Amino acid sequence: MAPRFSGRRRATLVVLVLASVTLLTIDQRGSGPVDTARGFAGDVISPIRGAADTALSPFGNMWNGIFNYDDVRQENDRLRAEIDAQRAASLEAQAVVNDYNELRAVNGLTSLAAIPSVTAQVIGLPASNFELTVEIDQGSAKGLKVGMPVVSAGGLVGRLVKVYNNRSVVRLVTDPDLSVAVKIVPPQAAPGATTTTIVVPPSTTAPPLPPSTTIAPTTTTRRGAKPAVTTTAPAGAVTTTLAPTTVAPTTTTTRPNQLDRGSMHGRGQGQDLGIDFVDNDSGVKVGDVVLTSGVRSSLFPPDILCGVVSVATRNSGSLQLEVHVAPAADLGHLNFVKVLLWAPPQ
Amino acid sequence: MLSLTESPWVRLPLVVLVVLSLQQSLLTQLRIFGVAGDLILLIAIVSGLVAGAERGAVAAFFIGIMFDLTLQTPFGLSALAYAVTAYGVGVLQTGYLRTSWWIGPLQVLVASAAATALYGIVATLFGAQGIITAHLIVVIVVVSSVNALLSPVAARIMRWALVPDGPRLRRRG
Repeated sequence: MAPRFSGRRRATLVVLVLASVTLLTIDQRGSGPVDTARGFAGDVISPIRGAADTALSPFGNMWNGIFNYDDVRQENDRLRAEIDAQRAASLEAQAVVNDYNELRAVNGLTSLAAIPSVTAQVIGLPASNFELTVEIDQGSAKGLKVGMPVVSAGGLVGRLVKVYNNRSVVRLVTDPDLSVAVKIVPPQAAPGATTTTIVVPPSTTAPPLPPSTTIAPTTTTRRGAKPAVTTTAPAGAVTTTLAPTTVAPTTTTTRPNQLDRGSMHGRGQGQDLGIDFVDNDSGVKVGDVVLTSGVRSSLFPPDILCGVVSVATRNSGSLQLEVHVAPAADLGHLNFVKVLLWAPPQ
Repeated sequence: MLSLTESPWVRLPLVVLVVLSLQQSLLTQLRIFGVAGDLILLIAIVSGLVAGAERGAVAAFFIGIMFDLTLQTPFGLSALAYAVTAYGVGVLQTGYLRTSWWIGPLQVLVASAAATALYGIVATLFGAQGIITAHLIVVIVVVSSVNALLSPVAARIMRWALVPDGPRLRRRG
């Protein structure tokens, strides 16, 4: 039997498609009624979802226990080792961070630690596979406003896009619609690091020079490292002439504290972040650290850790380096986050 | 005459509310390769299977609107993708007799893949970025497989919600 296409059925489909396109267009124009309806629907569904979450979480745990057991065990082992390493490092780093914050305060610069924040729990993960937002359990009642940055213990999570009375929606950094002004720094230059210099060992090490003692004129020529250094001694003094040996200087490569700035944006779910406008000659390498730059009119305060450079590739014919960034925050397992009560300067 | 409790106007919103709660709680935790199953899409497609093209498309549109209300994606996108898919499934459904048990799940598998791809394309046309990537293939495979597996259960539920008088009519006939 051939499919039947009645006129009425076709008309119904056309009406539904037109209605959808109309709604899409209204939403694209930033309509108030759609936002109001979404807020109302969220208020209705939120307690039901909370109850369902509580009731059904054992099933979720069981699922993860069955299918992710090995991963979880390996992750636990890795995290234990990391904690041991971090415990010592954090004590050392804390002192440096304190110095850093004091210096910023003395110079009248905004410090991340000085920004007040509100701790919130993530109550809703993305329900759709195409949505890159999470819902948190704090809202305007706690002083939250649209645009405030959200961070986790790992780093930058995103930005508030909707704020209701007792809940808010956070757009994750992986969303391509979210752009962040960032700076790329060498790992040692990130706040809390102890040095900004990478010392490259010299390729050849000269042995100690055997001095030959002679009665010489009143000048001593010390040769070795170029350029030669000449010092003048008082007349009649015993001088030491160093053998004319070429000494390879210790090579110290100092990378600048800031390699380049750029605009970081999401590239969709399951993808690393990308940074545009990074110069080919910036010297950015895999492993470099990405922080918010906090430039004037930036949407984020400076020095929030965004991630680590995972790809830095030169593309032939392009003036820009292709840079990908692995997010520092574990966006797939968010539980508690902090909302920074910070608004961009007008 | 259907009683109030048998009316699709009561049963469908009830089913949608329960499935929405499941989607937003349990399904967000049960991820396969980082992809959550899409129960909302499943009941939208099954609407077309059990209620036919016209009623199925209207029901799927309603289901999509309800889902869109809880998302931050463009409003009306799910409604469009679901309504078109449910209509297509409903039209094809009338074209042949279902003689084997696996025809239904197979239809759901193909329709889920089509609906997910359609969603990605329309979203991109409306300015959304980062959807048509390699990850979309993973999403299509996982969503289609999960939906096909769950389709027999979903068919029973949606038959209860949308065609409560179906068995009676058959008995009368």
